[in-house]
Amino acid sequence: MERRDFSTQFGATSHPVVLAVLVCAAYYAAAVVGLALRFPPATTSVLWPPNALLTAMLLFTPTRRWWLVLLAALPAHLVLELRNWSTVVVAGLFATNCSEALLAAGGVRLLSREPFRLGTVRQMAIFIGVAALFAPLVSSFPDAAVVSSFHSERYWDVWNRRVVSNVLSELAVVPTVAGAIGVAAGSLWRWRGRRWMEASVLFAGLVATALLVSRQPAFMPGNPRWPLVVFLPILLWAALRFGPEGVALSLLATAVLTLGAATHGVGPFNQQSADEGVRTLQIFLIVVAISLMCASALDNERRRAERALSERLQFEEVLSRMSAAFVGLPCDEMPRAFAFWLERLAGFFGWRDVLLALYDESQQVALAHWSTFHADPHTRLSLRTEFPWAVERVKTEGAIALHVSEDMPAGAEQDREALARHGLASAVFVPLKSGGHVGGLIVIMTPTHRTEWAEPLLGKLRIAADVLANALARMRAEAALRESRDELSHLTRVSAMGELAASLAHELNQPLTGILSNAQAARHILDANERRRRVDLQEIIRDVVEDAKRARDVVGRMRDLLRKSATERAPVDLNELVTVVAKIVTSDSLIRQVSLELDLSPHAPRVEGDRVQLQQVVLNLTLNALEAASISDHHPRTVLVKTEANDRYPIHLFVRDTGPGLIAGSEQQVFEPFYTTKKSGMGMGLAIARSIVEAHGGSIWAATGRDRGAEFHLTLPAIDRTVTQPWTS
Amino acid sequence: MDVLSVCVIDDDLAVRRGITRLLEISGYRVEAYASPLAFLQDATLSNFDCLLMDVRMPGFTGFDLYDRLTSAGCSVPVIFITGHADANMAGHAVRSESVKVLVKPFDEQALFDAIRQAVETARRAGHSTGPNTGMAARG
Repeated sequence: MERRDFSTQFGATSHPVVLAVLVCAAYYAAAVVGLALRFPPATTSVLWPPNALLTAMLLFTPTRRWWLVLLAALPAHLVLELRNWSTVVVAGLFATNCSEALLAAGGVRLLSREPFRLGTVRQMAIFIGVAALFAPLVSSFPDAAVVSSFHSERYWDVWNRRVVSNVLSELAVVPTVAGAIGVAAGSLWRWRGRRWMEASVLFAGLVATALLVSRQPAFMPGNPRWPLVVFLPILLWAALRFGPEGVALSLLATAVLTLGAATHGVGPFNQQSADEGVRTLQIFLIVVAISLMCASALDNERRRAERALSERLQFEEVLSRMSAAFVGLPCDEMPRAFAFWLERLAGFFGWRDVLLALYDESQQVALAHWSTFHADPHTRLSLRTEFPWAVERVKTEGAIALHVSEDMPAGAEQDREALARHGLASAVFVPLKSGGHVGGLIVIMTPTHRTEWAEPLLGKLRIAADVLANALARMRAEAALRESRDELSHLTRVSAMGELAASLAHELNQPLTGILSNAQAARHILDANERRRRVDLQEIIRDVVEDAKRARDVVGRMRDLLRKSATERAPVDLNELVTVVAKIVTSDSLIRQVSLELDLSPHAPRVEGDRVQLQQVVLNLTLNALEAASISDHHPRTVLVKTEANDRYPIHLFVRDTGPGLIAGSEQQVFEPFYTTKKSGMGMGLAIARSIVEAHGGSIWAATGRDRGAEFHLTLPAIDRTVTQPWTS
Repeated sequence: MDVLSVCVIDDDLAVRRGITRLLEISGYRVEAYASPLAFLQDATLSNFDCLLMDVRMPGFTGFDLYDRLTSAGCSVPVIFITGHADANMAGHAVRSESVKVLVKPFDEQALFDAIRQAVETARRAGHSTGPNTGMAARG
């Protein structure tokens, strides 16, 4: 996408001696051709390529080297022309030739601020107006003066002849030379086989037509004007398929061939009609050249617009794929998606180094970042410390461009030094803005040369950044939601604990009663000081210790449930979990006069998960079941907790109660937050249970049980199934 | 002062052993049962001056046993020992004077006082099944 700007590079980067030699040799060859196309004794040629060659050379070198180009042409000019004419004339002619080239090149460069390229109609118009028409016109005045005063030819004849021949030369030669320089730049290697074939056919056609004209076959009229018509299709073909450079080359070839024939009396040109025939040919070729080159420029513009449109469409496609990819993407997978799409964008735009960084809460950079630094895996960029100016400005000002060159505002020195240190020439910082809040940055860096970061490109970048910013905002929101859900889960656990407080107090009181009674008994024994009671004392102490440990275990279990734990993954035996829960709720089941039955399959495999969370789920289901069973009059009042393992479900647990059952149709609804049929209750227990079970990769559902009570089922994946880790900020 | 016989009915081993030991050391005669059913099966009610029973027991609670005994006309005083204060308890306690409630863990002095009070009240009321006994006041 970044076109090499060849025009100024050619003249600027080549070695001066090489340039001089090139100019000299080309001028020589052009002058040879031009001198051959003459009607002696006239001084002026029918076609004079050297001036146009100079114009082309000047257009492709920077202004400071123009003196070199003109100086290099001098020896060739002298060598050739001193043979024929006097020194004064030769010098004068060189001066006028140079003046034409200078007028042409200078005028074009002045009017069109871009480097010389005949791609648009505007550039073509400037070229034709200034270089092809104005410069030859004006420079012919002094030229005619020199020739007419020294060679006794009529002033206006000379002027006429020169204007026409130089206009044609400029039109034909300059674009051809431009094309030749393009070939040297390697653009020809991009041609595929078919294009080569087409060019060859075109060229063959040209040569064939020229031969045809010169043979003057019988069926062709002897009128010298008809060659014009015959060449037209080929020139048209060249214009439409090969651009201005192609037209010019064909035109040059045509001109040389036909004018050569005319000046040497070959073909339909006999001596009498030669002069007139030449004039007609020249006018024809000039008109054809101007028309076809304008047509070609128009065609180029259309093609360029099509290409821009096609690029835009391709970008839109990438963008829409990227947007679609992020819609509904679970937040665990977002980091991977960020990395993937960053690579895609870099590939699309042809950049090597793209970096995506996120801000943390305090708006400092690089909480996490992804980059495409392939070349050097050890490249670590700390954006905040290395590019402080850019990172600060981008929050308020939108996209910021940074260059290693001098023309950056004050305050950006550190950033520029950082660029230089990493071997970069330019960088652009684009903020990720969503809802007015800047969540992160994209940074793109180009190593080789200064990139202008023009508005169309920035516009595209902003759109892409928008997609990423929204995805980022959603990822952050979900992480925050998960955090607050954990918080709520903790609170619910606390309130569930409140419900159990009464029965747990009872649990503690049993061993405490033992301890207290034992201790009091021991004191009596010691008071009585009877030796035979020594054994009793030992037994007492043993029992006291046991009871105290039991109390400690009860407290420990309570603390486990209360502790707010981060998600930990470890192997968990579900049967053991159920047993522990059963022990906790024993007293509760007694208060409610509900019998709790356990049917635990010995084959149930272990689960990988968070023990505390899974215990909470089982506890919640069991408590609900106990409460339901206790409010019904249905006898016997039982709650069954069963685990089993089969092919369908590796681990299956269900809790069945003999309560009033679920309200018809509410099997899904019971798992929604704030759904409760209890008078006091937040309705969060089952919602939290479901989110815990689903986070473990299992599922939970409700059904109506056999004896019209309710059944709550849950299944979990067995331990050899991998469970993905959620991304935590 | 004659030796008082106390029966302890509690499903928790630690509680049973502890209270039994304490009472024996303090000069009571104690028998302990793990469940009301076991008590009903094996015990001879007339042996005891006082019953100490837990409320929460699997299958057959202390209240059930109490109801059973009173409906059978038994006049042995009952003391409920419990770790949980609950409404049912309060209701029952209010209804009958011969029912005392002790909250675990309790001090030995509280235990001895309760037993002594319960036995005295029962003796004052006599072991008759007349209409003035505390049992009949059950409603």
